[in-house]
Amino acid sequence: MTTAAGVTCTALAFAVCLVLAGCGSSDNPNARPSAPPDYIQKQADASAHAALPTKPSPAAAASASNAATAAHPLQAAQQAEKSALAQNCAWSVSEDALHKAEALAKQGKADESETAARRALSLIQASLFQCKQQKTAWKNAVVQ
Amino acid sequence: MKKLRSTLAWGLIAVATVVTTTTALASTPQQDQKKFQNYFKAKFPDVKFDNFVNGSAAIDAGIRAQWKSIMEFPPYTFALAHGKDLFNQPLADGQHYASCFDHGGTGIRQTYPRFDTATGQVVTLVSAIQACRQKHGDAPLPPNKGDIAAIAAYMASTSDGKRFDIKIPDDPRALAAYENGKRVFYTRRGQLNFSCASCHLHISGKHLRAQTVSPALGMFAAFPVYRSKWGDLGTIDRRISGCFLKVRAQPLPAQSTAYRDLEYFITYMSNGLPVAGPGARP
Repeated sequence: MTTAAGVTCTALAFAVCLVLAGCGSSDNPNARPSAPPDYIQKQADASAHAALPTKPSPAAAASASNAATAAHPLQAAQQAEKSALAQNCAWSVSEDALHKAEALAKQGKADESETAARRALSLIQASLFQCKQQKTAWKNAVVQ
Repeated sequence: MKKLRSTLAWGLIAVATVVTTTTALASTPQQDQKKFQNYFKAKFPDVKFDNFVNGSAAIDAGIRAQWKSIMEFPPYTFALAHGKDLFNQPLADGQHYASCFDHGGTGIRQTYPRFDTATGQVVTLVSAIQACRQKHGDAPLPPNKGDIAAIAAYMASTSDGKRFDIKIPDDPRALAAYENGKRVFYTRRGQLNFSCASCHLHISGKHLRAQTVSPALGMFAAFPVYRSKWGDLGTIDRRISGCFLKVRAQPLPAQSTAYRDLEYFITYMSNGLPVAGPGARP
């Protein structure tokens, strides 16, 4: 993961440097930068899709890389909770845990959000297991 | 010979299991009701059948003493008067609530919830009040407490003592709604893995911390109730959502299908008991 992030960061920085260099070499300060060669543009696009950076600084790229990592358990938790809610078997504690993870993600606290999302996901998975198990098990409790 | 005996024995066990399971699953609502009521009659032989409408006060002398003390000056009196005023006020188009109900809305609590064959849905007293408002141009009232509880309380008070007579019409959708309510009642939920039945059936009469758990039989007969804990009147939805939260389950919206079907099931199980609403609980 670290290697992938490093490559992403380097490729992006390289592309941006080339663009800036092109711009700086022009004599006319109002001249628009010339388009980078195709292969560099493709690399930059691929990097942008991979890490979703807004500013091509190493720190921002690292932070974006963390966000990309956190997005997976959060999205998985959100999808699982949708399923639990649709079946009327969601837990209040898993809802709370998911909201906490979402709030942390909004604040840009990627690592904390990921931890919270993983906790939410484990709670939601337990609620879904209970739901599945109770589909037939409830019948054992009926008064005879 | 030995092998034949063994095969026969296993065959008999299998047949017995299938028969038992089939019987359990195929029991009719009437059979369910009889077993349900007999369960509580056997569990609390000293409690008169009609007294099951008083919840835990019926089975615990200490709570009964508190409840009698509360009922000397019922805390819902003002809400009841407010409910009567609201009931008699005209709706947006000048019509009254009375126009939406049989017998002008008087003395009908014992017939709710009922299954509406036109819509294929269970209609509770609360949902009927809300539907009446919408029919006559008013917005639904906020759920669970306040005016909706006050109007329902007034309507319940006009049925005081009438015996519940919930019907399940000969319609597969009605039976499905009943079965869904039964499933909701017995299904464990929440992080604490409790069902309605865990508390209000299997351990009813016992203590959960300082509380005596009330029996499910007659549970909704006194609703809406004034709970000291709430400090005002609340509907059945409010109570169910409170239970969901206690077991750490996510509550459902008021008057959701699951809540209405659950009310249908529990009230049907309580057929024959008198209406005792509004009530008061510690």
